[in-house]
Amino acid sequence: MTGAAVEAEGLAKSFDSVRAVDGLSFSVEPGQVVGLLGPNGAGKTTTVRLLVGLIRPDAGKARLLGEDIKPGAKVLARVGALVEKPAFVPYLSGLENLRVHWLAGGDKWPAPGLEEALVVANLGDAVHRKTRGYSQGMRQRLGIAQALLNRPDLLILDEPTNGLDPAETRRLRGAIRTIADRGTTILVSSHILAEVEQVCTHALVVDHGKLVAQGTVADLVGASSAIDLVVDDETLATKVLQGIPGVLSVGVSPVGGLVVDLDGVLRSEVVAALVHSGVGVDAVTPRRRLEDAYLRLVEDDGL
Amino acid sequence: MIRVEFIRQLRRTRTWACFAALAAVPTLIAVANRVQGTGRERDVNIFTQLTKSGINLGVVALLVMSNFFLVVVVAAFAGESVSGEATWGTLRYLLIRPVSRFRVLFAKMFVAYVLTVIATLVVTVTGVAVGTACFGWHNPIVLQQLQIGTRSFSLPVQISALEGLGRLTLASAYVALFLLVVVAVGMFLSTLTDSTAAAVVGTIVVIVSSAVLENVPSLRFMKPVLPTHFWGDWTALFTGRSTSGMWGGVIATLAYTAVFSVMAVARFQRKDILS
Repeated sequence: MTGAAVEAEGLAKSFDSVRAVDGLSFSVEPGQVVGLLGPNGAGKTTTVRLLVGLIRPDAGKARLLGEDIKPGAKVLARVGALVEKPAFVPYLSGLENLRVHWLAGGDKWPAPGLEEALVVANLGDAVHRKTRGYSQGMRQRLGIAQALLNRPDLLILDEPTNGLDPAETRRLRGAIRTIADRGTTILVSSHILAEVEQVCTHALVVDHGKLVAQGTVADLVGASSAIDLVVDDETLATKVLQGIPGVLSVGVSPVGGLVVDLDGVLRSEVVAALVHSGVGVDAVTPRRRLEDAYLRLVEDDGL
Repeated sequence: MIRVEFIRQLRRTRTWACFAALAAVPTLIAVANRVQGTGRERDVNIFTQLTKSGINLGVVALLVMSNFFLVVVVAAFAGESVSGEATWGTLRYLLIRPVSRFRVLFAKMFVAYVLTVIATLVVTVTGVAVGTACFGWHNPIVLQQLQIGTRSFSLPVQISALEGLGRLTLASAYVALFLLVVVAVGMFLSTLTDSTAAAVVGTIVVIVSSAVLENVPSLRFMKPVLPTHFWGDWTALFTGRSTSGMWGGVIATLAYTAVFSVMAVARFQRKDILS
């Protein structure tokens, strides 16, 4: 495991009689964008807190970028983190909060990642206003910006899309991709599977404090793909689809439309065949297969 | 880290409100005595001399404020320092910076103590300034003890303004040093809880309880080990009594500060940050 960006070895942490993290071991390789998935109470935030040294493990250890983690560890200078939710000194402005956070590490202002951080924060002139008046979305964006001040080699984001509207979520997704493209390792803790599916290359699934599955998103989802289809004539469409080689099955979705399992046939070919047969296609969307895989994993685990 | 803590404290309205309140009390005492006068008192004590000079008012202001008001303000500075950050949630972001917890706590304690010294100076300097404005710049009056038979009497005597200022400076330094215990207790309690109110009130309770126990006759044996035992010994500088107790106060203060500081560091080093 030498050279991993994040290594957890048998991490365990209990609060009173509750085992929040139970012998958790995993690694994240440099450059990966990894989703840390799990239902509420699975131990995701406790794991994040253990990784950045905010709480001490009862057993096991964590290493970030090759260095054992402990409170105030030097390696934290290369790590950016959003833990649970953003927090700021209420009577300071957004920019002053960023400055105070940065200066606390003994570094000179301005921070190397300030420009990019302000773009991600997207606060405009509001960055000079006191944070006590910020909306949840503004606080969330500023929290993510704060994690980017040091242009981190490792970025840990705990529920980064909390409080963001769809447009902001989309912008954040783009920002994460940009940051990942320059080689930054990213660990995103989330229970929003669509987000993880869209930005992550790998995923860790935890439940009851234990690792349930680990691998690439493609591995977890499985080799086959499926689509949701909304058409004007489901009967005719089903007949056409069943005649296409590579269509494994056609079913009716409980929320309306058709669910089509594909194996080796392109979505564009399916749509072309339907249109050619006179079927009007209103919408084609890839099925959330990670959601299926995730639910299967956590249900198998006893949920 | 110290710079960050200064920014955090000095940008806060509460800090300036505390200083303003500390300055207001000596001003009110001066104005009240200027308007009404001290009256004809039979007793001779520090209070009856407060209109004699600006320096005398400074002494009275320090005496009035050091008993409780300064303790409350200092408890607010120290008790809030860690627990306040926990309440806001900023503590976890402070502690994921590459800075040791010892350094964080030291910076917070240092800044809380600097604010304490400033608070003490605000009381004394305001007292002298307002007193001088109201009663003029004269040589101050201090008391001298006169023993006749088994009875002792306090006699007012005049000393030079320079000597008066020197004694007042020494008294302020003693009070500020005593308040170091309050800072240490406040810091320790601040590491125990994420509630600012609990840390501040807890600090006041510890100090006030010590002062109360001091006055319980059946607990006389405990007096020498109470942190407030030497609290008011600085008044000997103005009452003609022996000042030897002040050395005991310095030693006790440093001992209590060391104990509570070590406890605060030990607690903070091992604290799980869940706020």
